[in-house]
Amino acid sequence: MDFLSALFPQSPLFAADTLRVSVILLTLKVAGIATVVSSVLGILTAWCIARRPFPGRTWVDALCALPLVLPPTVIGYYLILLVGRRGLLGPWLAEFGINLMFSWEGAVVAATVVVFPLIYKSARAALEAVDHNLENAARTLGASEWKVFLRVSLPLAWRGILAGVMLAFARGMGEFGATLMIAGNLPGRTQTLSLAIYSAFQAGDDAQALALVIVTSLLCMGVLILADKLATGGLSFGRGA
Amino acid sequence: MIDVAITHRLPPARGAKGKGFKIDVSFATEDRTLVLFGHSGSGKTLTLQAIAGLMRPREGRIVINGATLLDTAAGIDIPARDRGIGYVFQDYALFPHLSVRKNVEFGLGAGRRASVAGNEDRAMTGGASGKQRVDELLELFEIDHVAQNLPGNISGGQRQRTALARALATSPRALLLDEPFSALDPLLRVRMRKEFTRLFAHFDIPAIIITHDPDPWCCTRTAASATA
Repeated sequence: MDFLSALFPQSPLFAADTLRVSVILLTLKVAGIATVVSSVLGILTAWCIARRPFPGRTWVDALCALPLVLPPTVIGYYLILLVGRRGLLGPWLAEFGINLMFSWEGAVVAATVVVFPLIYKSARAALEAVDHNLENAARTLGASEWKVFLRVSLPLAWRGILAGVMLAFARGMGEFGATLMIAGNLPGRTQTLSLAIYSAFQAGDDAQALALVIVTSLLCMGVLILADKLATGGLSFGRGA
Repeated sequence: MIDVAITHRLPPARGAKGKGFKIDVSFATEDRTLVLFGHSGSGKTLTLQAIAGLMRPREGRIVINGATLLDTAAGIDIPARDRGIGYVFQDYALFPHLSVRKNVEFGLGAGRRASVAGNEDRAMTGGASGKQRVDELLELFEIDHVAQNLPGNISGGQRQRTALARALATSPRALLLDEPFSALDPLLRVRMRKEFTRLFAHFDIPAIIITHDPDPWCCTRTAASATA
């Protein structure tokens, strides 16, 4: 059931089209999984790097932020070198029956890499802003480093981290270049919103393209508003005088 | 018994002239309470941090009640979480996202107990379960009525008592207090000092206190100074 055609039965823009719903669902699935995976990796990486200086920290930090500035096609190319059929890990993955090329899982990998810096950067800034005395107090109370992280650092930094996570989800929904390189543009299989818009536009189906553009814009607006609500409506800690 | 001897050198701040900061402090006492005097910037807080294991001095030895916490010559450096040192920070460092009760409970998590020798006499109330102990502490420190409040919503004196209760909940082998009264107004300061004296008598625990208050405590004092 296409909810848009139900809402606007007269409009040719939103004519029933089951493919379009599947495009939206696939986009949400790919961006959602990529955001979850990237959140775990990004927060843990930020924690390791924020804790103390070590030789080469600047280089590791730059590497983690690199997908932010690299053209997505370059990221896609690196990923093909890595997980392509003849790539570095491709044959090894194939032994487990995993093929990332031209599959929606490949789109997840592409989006995960692309959104990683957004989460890593905001998580690192948020974790470094936590008062070190609070972490030290937890240590003198017998807390392991893991407990310090879970009970003190993470709860105090979650707001800043959440902002990055939401941004990452919105960015993941719009991922185009790296996804196209690794997962292709297969309608019903790997075609996400931004790819479908491009295809519709190329095919001269302007109504379809405009409908998808509006859907994408609304989804992204929704994410940003939700992020704001979560950040301001959540817990607020009174600061000690 | 408290026996501390440490030296440490901090590099000069970037762009600043001079030799940086050298701390060389040693003191030993059989007394229960030791007061550290000194100008601000003379390394008092660093000394406490070294005792708590939050800062590693270049060389030195820290022995509290027979337990060696640090001995660089022998390669001993017990991590902060296993030292069993209660630390009351100057700004109290209460966890702002946890209630007063959760703050006091924090150190009572399962799996905690120092592997250092000399712990046997550290139990404050023998056999009491964690919850009972927290109840007792909240009552003793008169913060039971604000137990569910966040630290941001209680008074300065209550905050200080929470910090002290939290440090004592783990039955530490010694207590470190960094300018415990500096954040309080003068009237409250006099009252809290009296209360502390009473509480220290109650807990009978060795304490090291930093102050630059000229007329500090009614207890034994040993002045120590660091060189800058």
